[in-house]
Amino acid sequence: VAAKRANSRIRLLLAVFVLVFAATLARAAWLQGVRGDALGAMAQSQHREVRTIPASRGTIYDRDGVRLAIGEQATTVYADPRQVTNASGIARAAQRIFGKDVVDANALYPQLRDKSRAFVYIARKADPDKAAAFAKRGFDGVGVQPEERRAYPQRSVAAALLGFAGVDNSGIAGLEYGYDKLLRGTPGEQTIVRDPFGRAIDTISSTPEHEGSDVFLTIDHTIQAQAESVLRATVQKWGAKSASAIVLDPRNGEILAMAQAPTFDANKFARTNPALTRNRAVTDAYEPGSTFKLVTVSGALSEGIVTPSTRFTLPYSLKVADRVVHDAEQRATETMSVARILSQSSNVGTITLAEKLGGPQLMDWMGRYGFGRTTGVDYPGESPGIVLPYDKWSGSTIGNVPIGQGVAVTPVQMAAAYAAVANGGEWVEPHLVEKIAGHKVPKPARRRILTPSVNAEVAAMLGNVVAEGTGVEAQIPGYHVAGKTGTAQVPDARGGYSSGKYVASFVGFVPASKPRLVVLVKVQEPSGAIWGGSVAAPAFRDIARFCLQYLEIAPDAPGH
Amino acid sequence: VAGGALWIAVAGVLLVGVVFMNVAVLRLNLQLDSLGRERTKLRAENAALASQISGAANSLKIEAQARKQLGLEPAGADQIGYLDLSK
Repeated sequence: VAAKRANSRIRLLLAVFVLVFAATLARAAWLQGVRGDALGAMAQSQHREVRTIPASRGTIYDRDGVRLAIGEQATTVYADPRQVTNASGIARAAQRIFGKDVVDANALYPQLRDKSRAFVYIARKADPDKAAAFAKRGFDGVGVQPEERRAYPQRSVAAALLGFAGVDNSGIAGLEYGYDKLLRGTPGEQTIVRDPFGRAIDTISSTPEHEGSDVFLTIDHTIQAQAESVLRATVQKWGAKSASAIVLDPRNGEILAMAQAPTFDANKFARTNPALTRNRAVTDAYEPGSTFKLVTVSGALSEGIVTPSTRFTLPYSLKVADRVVHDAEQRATETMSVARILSQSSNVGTITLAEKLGGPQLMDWMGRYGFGRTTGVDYPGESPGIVLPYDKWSGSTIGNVPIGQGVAVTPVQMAAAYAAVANGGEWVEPHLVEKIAGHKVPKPARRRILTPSVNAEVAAMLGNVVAEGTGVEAQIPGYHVAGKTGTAQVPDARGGYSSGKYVASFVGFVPASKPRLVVLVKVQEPSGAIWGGSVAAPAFRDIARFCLQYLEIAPDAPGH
Repeated sequence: VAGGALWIAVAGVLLVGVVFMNVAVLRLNLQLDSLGRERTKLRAENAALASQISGAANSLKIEAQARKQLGLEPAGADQIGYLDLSK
């Protein structure tokens, strides 16, 4: 009996073992076979992490290697509301650590409580130290991601020229936009395995990041800042709406400064009036007025119609079709040479020359100087200006186009035109970029516009404009200066001209005997005085004088 | 018997070697992660310092400081002399 009982107990124990083993086997089969994939994926997601390695955006340097736009490291802090367990704690801590201007706890809290969302930004591109302090609090459902923040250390210097990159680090405006493909890098990716303490114990795969290319400009930040400072003072002095300036090396087309006022802090572009962010020297066309007379006079000289000493008897006013054109200042009929027509900026004299030259020839000369088409400057959104085709000319067009009315140009077109005269009659494509990723950009396009002899005559006449004509305010002690003043009315939307609104400009080069600098200044809607000679020429003088000293350019008229 | 013991010893040494190697790989991975973090941190610091240098290189700021702190003034055109070395 005892042996039988013992046998039955052993059988019972065996049955229990079999049952337990069967249950374990079934559970194992269930976990491994049926739920294997899902649990495997869950396990992977818990210890594997795909980490993005951000690629730095290329730096923009000036010609001396000073950084104008740079990528700073930042950290983005985010939350998954579905995993958040302490929404109020996160909101309060975020506001305290990042500051109320970055995180508003009252706005963040309801977002963190919204379980229908899987992603909420707590602080985008925040200070890395603050983000680390916040992450240390160990809130559930909170993550951090390294990102790059574009910074402009010189703030307003060259702001409109540089443009800006947005929160996603892609260029939105200016050179940042124009060179976006080169500046932006390719982010890398790394899949790592973490242990239960969060330490990376293995790297499964890794794709390295490719950093963006650095761009070196022809701009000199010191000249740029000085030009902006002079323009600010000019705008303030004359109560003008705005002002632009270009400083150019005529020998090679390198733009040393492209300034405007008012300007803005590029780090705060999102809060800036979009009108201020336009680089007007390239994108905005204006009626140039008398600075355009260069085209008419040099065309007439080149075609052999006149010489600088050819004299004309000129009345104060001239009837052209249905329009009467007169000179800026009342005078009696007088005899003027071509040189004097330019130095005194005589409208009647210039139109007389244009009538001798003829409309089609004038159009041809406008084309040779590059008006009516883009210069090819390496900047996005360049305006070609407005030039009326010859078949659209009316009878009075010959009375306004030769003196810079009814035609619109950009400051960079006009600067390039005068640079051609400064460069011995050869036009050089203006440009802003010197090197990309250490490689020189292709050489700028060049074309001859004037013969050396005609060019010398034109340059001498432009010298007279500053020596004894309308541009005396542009004189710089010790240097011969050549240039031309311009004063033009501002067109209105109805096809006429706005009353009392003018653009005052001056464009010239120095030292006139061996030009190293072309400077253009354009002042939009000054009040008090309107003339290019009194508003823009002094700004030209101040910018040019600084540049001559800064670049150590020896005087060509010592004691003058 | 002696041959069997030898094989057991060899297998034991190999197993210990595998364990040591895995531990070494683990340590290197941890070191790599730590270096990666340090690199990111140093790059961030480098960028921040470069930004500060560039901000400090603002010529108008330098000029203002030179005027204010040192009483310096830009030289006038008549105060500069040039030597023509070609003559």
